[in-house]
Amino acid sequence: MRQAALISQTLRAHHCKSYLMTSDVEAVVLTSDPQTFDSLHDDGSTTIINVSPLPELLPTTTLTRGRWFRSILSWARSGSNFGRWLERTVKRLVWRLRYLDRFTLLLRPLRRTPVAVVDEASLRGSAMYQELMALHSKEPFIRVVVFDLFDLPVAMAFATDHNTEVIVR
Amino acid sequence: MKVRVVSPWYPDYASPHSGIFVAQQVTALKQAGYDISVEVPQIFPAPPGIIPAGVTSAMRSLAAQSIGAMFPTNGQTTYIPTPVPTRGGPLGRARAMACSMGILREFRDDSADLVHAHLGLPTAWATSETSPQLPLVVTEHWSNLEAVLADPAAAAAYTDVLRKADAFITVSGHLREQIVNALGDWALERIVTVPNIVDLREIPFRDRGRFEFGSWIYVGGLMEHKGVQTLLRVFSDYTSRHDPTARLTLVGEGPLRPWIEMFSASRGLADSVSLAGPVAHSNLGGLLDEADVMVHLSPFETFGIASLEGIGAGMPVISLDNPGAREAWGDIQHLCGVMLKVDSQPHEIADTVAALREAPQRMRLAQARRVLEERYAPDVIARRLSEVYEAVLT
Repeated sequence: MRQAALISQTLRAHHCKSYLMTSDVEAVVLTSDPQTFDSLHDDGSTTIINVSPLPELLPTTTLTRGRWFRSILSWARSGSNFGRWLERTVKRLVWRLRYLDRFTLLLRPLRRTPVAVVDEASLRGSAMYQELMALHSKEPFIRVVVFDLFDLPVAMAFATDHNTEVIVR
Repeated sequence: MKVRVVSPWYPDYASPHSGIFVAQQVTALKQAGYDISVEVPQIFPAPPGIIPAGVTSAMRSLAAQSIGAMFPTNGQTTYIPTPVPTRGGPLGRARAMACSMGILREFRDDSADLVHAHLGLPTAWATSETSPQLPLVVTEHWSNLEAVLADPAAAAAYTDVLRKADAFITVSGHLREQIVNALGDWALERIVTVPNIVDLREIPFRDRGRFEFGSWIYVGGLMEHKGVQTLLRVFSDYTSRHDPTARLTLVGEGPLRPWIEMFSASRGLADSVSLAGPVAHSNLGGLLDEADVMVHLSPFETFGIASLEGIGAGMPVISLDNPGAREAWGDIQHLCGVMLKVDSQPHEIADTVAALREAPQRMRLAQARRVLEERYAPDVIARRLSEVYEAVLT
């Protein structure tokens, strides 16, 4: 008996970890950033699988940028005074640029990539769906727990095809 | 009376200490006889831009199959997952919340006598969009409000909320001033101040007799804007010049934890500084009981509950003269502590603690606790909220 936890974007990793730590059911975490879940390997009841995010739904640049930002922040906060100064300076700079940023609001619609219409076929062809299906054929999932709402369309398609419960947490 | 409380800050399985002050208010209102349901819009961060239609239609499909699967429920509390694009600002968050709350409303009836939203933006704005027919009471607590109101679009939306609200509450006079300064004098007559609850029932008072100041405590987020780094510098100075045996306990969690560990090690304070992590409110009393003095060096607080709990536990509080502290206990500081200028240097603060230790004991902490109970006890605040609700409905 096991469950799948879907979390392409790891910004809610804390929620996912908290949920899994209090759950009695064995879990497979499908994520595009397995390193975030390193600490979960310790108890042996969780498997982490690396899955590419849905290209139609998720601009990967955002994830990459987020990962870089978190690495720099983690280094800056590790205790050095220089890191602390750097973080403070960057924050002040960003704060001032926010006001300037209003002018770029006018340009933003022009450069935004339109979101593709997600059809059923592309959902079922996605890496997340394929991985879910492969894992499910070996040992069926009793439920799919969604921690990133961008994974919900895939979870719903999977649930429809395999009669599995979906919950958002 | 049936009241729906809507708050983005509320305890959940991953953050049991989030929004504890809203939860305390809910408990007090229930004890006062109100039928309370709680809705908690939860931010699910999303990339910048528009939320794909596939996501919202999947949310709707899941809610149609099972409302509890889409909107987790715990007793009378319903959590509302909300995909929020980053860089959308407060108004972007409000629009996103209105969308998710709208989906919930499609599947759950909208009956309540009134709705009490915590935070003007995003929550009250979203609530007024999705349940426009219900009387709206708003409570503002946000310490970041000044920055929110500096944005013209957010200020316009906030003005809209303030005009629509049947009652508008701030938890401090300082927040009311910020709103009036940003939006104009007309706002003054629309705002009343009802403070947060300070629940001292689980915090025993200990008469310390003499104050040794050997055991310091800080309760709050381990964050820069809370003055935690200054606190460590003050403590380092105090141990080197006044009392090498002093100890400091920090209760709370936050991004400065590694910095604190590194700083303590580099100053030879690793054994003197302990990080207790987040502690449930029901367990806080024990930690406060073991401490001699609370030191809070945050330059800005909206209200500052932790300092009031420290006073309630019978210990003096050393604080910076921030607006929240000044308003909450500035008039009784002669009974229970010291407020220092915001730009005080670490060695000045350390000397103040030392001077207090050497000075004749002048504190009247039992009296200070009684004052706090008269002002902020759960039943006192519930009664004041009750008056607001009754006024709205008559």
